[in-house]
Amino acid sequence: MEYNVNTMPPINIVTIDYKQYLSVSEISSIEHEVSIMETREAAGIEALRIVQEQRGWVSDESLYAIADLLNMPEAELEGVATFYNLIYRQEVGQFVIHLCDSIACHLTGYQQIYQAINTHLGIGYGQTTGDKKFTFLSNVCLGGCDKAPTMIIGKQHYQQLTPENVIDILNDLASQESEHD
Amino acid sequence: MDDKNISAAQKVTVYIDNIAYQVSKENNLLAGVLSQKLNLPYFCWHPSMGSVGACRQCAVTQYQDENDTRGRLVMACMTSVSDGMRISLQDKDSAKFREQVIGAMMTNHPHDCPVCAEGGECHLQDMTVMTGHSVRDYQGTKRTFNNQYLGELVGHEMNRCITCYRCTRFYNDYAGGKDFGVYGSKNQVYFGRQKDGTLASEFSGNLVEVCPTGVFTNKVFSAHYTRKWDLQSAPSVCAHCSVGCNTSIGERYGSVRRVMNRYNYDLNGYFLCDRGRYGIGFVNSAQRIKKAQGINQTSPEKLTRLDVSRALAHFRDKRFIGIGSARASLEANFYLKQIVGEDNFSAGYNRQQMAVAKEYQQLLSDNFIDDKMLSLREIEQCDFILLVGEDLTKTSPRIALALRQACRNSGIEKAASMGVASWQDSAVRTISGKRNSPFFAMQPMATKLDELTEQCLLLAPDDIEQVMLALTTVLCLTDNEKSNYFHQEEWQAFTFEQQSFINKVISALATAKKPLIVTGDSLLSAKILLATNKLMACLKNQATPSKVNLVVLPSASNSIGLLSLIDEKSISSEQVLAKVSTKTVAGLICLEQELTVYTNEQLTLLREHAEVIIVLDHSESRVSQLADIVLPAAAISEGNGHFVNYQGRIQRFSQVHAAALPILDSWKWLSYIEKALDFSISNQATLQRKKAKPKENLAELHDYFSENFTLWPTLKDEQLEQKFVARMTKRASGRTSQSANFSVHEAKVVEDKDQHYRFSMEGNKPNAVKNMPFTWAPGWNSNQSINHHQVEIQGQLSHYSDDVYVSFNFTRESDKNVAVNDDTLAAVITDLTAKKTLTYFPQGCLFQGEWQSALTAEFQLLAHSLEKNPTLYLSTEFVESQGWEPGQWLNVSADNKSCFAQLKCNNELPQYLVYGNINDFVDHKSGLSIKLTEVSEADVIQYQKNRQTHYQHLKVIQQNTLKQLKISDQHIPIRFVAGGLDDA
Ligand code: SF4
Ligand code: SF4
Ligand code: FES
Ligand code: FES
Repeated sequence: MEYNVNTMPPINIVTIDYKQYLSVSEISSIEHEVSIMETREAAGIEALRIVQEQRGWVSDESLYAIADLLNMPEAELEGVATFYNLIYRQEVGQFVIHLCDSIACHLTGYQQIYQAINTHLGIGYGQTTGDKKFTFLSNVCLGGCDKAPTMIIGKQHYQQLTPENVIDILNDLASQESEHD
Repeated sequence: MDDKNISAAQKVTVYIDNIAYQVSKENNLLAGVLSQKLNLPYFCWHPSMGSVGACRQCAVTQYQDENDTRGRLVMACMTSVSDGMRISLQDKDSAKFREQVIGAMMTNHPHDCPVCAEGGECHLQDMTVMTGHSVRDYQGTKRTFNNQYLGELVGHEMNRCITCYRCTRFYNDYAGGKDFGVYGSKNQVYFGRQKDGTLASEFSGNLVEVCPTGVFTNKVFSAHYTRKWDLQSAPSVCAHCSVGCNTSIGERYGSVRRVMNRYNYDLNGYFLCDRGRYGIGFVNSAQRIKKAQGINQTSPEKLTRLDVSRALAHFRDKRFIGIGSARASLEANFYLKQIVGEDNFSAGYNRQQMAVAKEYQQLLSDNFIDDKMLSLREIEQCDFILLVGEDLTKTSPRIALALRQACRNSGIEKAASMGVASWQDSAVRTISGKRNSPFFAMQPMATKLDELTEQCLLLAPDDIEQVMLALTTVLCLTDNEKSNYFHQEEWQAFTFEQQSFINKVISALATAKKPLIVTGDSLLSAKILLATNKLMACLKNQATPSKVNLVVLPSASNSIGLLSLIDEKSISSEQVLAKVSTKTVAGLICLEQELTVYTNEQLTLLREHAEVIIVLDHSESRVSQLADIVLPAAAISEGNGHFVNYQGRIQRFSQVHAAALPILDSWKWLSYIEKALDFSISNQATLQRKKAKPKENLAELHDYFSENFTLWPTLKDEQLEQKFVARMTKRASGRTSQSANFSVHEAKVVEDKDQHYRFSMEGNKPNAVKNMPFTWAPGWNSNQSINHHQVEIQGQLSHYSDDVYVSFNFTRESDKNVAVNDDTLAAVITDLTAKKTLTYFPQGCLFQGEWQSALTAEFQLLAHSLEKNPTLYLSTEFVESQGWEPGQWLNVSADNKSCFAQLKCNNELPQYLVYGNINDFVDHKSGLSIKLTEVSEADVIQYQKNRQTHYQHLKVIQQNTLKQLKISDQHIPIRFVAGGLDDA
């Protein structure tokens, strides 16, 4: 592999000091979680959740700050962050649609639901609408197979979707003024 | 598994396809099956790392009894063996299952073997063939990943991953790496760093062998690549530290391509460190000496022995000083000492180093009369560690890795008490949690092992000595005397941390079953060695429940070989200078010696006064540049000889290929020198040498040695091994045409005078000798074929014979001791840390810590990496007293050099102790007084720019080296005989 000396990265060593980056309330909530765990790094998943609640998603800087606070390798924390599909490592919209694409939903019209959302919002999986309202993701079985097809948005489980009612749901959400909790 | 062969008592009968086998019950079923040399495919299990049951590849059918015809599938690696157990490997169900597991793995595999560096020695290829999965039936798309830049040593090609988890289990769990992880879930699992960047572990190169596919490959090898089956290999011994890991070096077209691990039961097992794996690059560097200098060559074609004799004739019958070296072979050093005479022999050590050598000898002769020092495998079994004055991860990396395993013993024991076998890797790790065996350490700088210690003290060498002495004192006291002593001033002088350190060590020692004390000579402190000796003496008289083991680690591959040659007559570098200045001798013979002990002024002085300086070396050094005569010596891959490891174990390294003349083994040059100079006036009364004649091979040399010198250790296995083993694989391709651009006639096979191995694909099979050139078995092309050459999985090699050791019985009358009469000695060894000056101790450096490997282009790049700044750690107290801030840059000056470093604080540091990783000061192991001054931001910017320019310069060197190698592939040196100058 040839290496072009002219495109060599400049010396740019990023270190994040959690005290500078995380808010006082974030730190204290994380420290609370630490206090009830056996080891500091065990609080990793909770810390990610706390920061995501504040900031909507977990950026690289947030990840490094949490790793610094918990005194754990960033690689290990990244492993936790990427394992759970409700931790977002890319910027997401206000509402994240997790549409189930597993077997029961496939049998009961998943394809049409996908089409409906896709046409209505103009985005496919992994994409976010221009107004930053919606992000569209797939999800494995949500445990609602008897009421398939299903999806989750925020903390709400939506079942027995049809191409029509799914648009209503999205319109309802879009017209909400406040941000999701 | 303590014994070489697990005794019959530990074996049970297992019926495999209705045939009874004796299988060890200590290990799992997979290991048991493989130990019978039966073929059962596997991926995630590793003999050293145990089982996790992740890949489902090792499925077999287990039957309840003779009448059970259905059986059930079990994962062999997760199943313990029991007496009378019945299993089948050949039944249709488990065979189909195994084939389907491969099929599933291959759905995401890119099938890119032709462009994969693993091809031809790939465990995945082998297992695929073994299961009979020969038709590709998946038609869908495959998941793809981006690859990462992981530094100069390891390549990354994630699409080839089969998600066996071996990499992370090695890198994180086994080797304690922090910058590697597993990301994602389900069908999207990624193994690598959090972001692009150089892998920080000293053991990253093992990923190449641990990964069963081509995800992690040897990047340097890939850049100048050859298939394994086209490599010519020979068994070697790592030349880069004193552990003596066994390696297999591969060559093609006259250049060395790579180093692979060569399994050694007692030492390296399955793993090497990165210095050992990649440090070989020095043999291909531009600094290599390839021509003789200072000799008038009469024939235009080649240098002859006559030329050498003529050049040296002038110095006939004159006296020379010989300076040996810890990186030259035992043979060369021994020979040199005999040639110049014992009172003209120097190890290239100054007075301080000679004092250390003396203490070292004393320590060895007092403690190892009957016992051998623990092997690396035995170190792994220890359950208490006291580490004194060493940054092992950087100086003897493989030992540091062994200590990491030793730390696990407490957890393994806990698991055992709950009925969980040690091979149940993830269960054992869950049970042990953060529990470690007691581990205590003292050294002047923070090290990577500190995280495992119960307590670690950062101390200057003198203070380490004091703590050792106090530890000894307290150990020897009765309980009553103790409480008395604890009130005395002497004890009160220690800090609270030091006191509790001592007490904790003593109480942990009392319950340890196999305690271990590790020290070495890195700090060049004779006092620490002496204190260690006192401690050992005290422990021997103690009623401690278990014998306390001692391991002492020197710095270089043949340090102990050299130490065994140092006696009361050997002279220090100061005495060399004196003798040369007074013209007592005509000149110097420097054997693979860069003479770092001398300052530039001393070297100039030496040059002025010496009539002639003869240098034998493989690479340009500050000495070769001053020499009158330079003789090109064979590097490790080009020569034959022995190194003596830290235990005194004498290990053979063998020639991989015959380098282009006039590159010759140092000992061959010495035999020419001996003949040409005819040292008949050498004052060795004992020496009635026969007419010296040049030695053709090691066997002749050894005969000559043992006939003439009583001190030569007899290497018993010499005779047994005349087996003519092929250095090339059976399927080496292109041999008949490789030199067709010179002549269409097929070149004759190079004749090897050493009769162990052949430069050919014809010859005995690799395991006909104790040291196999490479590892291979039918159906097993990767290094995992070693399974087939072990008595038991992870056991001794089936073709092993005992190693020979040098004796540690050194002269013990103290008045005859080395250099002790020297008046100035006391002044020299007085510690620098006269409390009020800042004393800097360098952290070890894997890439710069050893002279030869440091010449490797990739190591230069890594040592000057732009991914981290040079850092200086100071005590918080001191930083605050100066009004400095962590993160700010300082100018560090000492020893006529100055450079920049970024400041960091360490609370644990005593006020005047400083450590860091500044390249320019890496050699000042015993401490360096430094001055610190503030610098302007503009200076720092300029400094960083200079660093970048320098890095680019090094990058260009790396690329040019590679370019040169590829060019020289077109000009393969043809040699007919791998003998001496006039042979070819
Ligand atoms: S990268 Fe290699 S070792 Fe790691 S999980 Fe994949 S195949 Fe296994
Ligand atoms: S440098 Fe030392 S530890 Fe590393 S491979 Fe060589 S002998 Fe082994
Ligand atoms: S398959 Fe969609 S909820 Fe189970
Ligand atoms: S080797 Fe047994 S499951 Fe992987």
